[in-house]
Amino acid sequence: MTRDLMYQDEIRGIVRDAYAAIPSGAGAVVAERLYSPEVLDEMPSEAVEWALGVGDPVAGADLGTGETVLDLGCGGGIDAIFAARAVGAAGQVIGVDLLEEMCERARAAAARAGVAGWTEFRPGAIEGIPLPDESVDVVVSNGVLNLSARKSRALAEIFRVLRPGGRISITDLVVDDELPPEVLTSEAAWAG
Amino acid sequence: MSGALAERVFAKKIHQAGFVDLVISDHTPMGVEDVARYPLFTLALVQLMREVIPAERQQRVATSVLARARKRA
Repeated sequence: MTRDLMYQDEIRGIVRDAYAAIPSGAGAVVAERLYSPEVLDEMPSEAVEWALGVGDPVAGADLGTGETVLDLGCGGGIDAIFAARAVGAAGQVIGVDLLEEMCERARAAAARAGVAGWTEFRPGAIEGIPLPDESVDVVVSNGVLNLSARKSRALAEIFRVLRPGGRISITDLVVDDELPPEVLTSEAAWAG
Repeated sequence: MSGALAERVFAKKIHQAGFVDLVISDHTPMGVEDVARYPLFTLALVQLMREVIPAERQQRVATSVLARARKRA
């Protein structure tokens, strides 16, 4: 389908449907490009299999023991598990994903990783984060912001849930030149 | 990927949200064959990208970046 204009709700539906339809993530081939061997060696295989990010935002977050971390668009949980190990049992990691099935995968992976006691996963949109104001120390996100048709709203939500002095570590895609219109208007290119 | 912004626009939106001390680093090119590894890029889309994106841009259709910033204390 090629059209000049897609609407915000339509884009969100395309992204949700695309993620719900895939049988697995990008797997070890991509994960090995993004994460250190030390991270992957101790990661449950299902979390590696569902890796869909574009970088390693947790490594850039300089997490400390006891911090509360939000993983926005947590997918299968690889970054949330990495963050949970960094903050330890005195901390907390909350994963939010548009799809409940992704949250279920992340819960199972967190349990296998032994960090279930201080992680939780909630379905929710990045433009309406299901958390109170000023409730987290750090927000990490991996390849998710580009999927939103309301990026300013999503960033305002991130700002809202961060405590004063809190920080963000976000990996995402940027473009130097506009993609050809045939690609820009492809539904699959909105989800990918 | 269709929703990816230019880096300066990405940075501007982060600043507009209220964040300070923004640093954008870890620039990593993503080519057509890189994105083809992601299941969200369908075979039809990857083939389309191979056909319509000029050869000199095939190795860098997007760039992965790390954006770090903070909310003022």
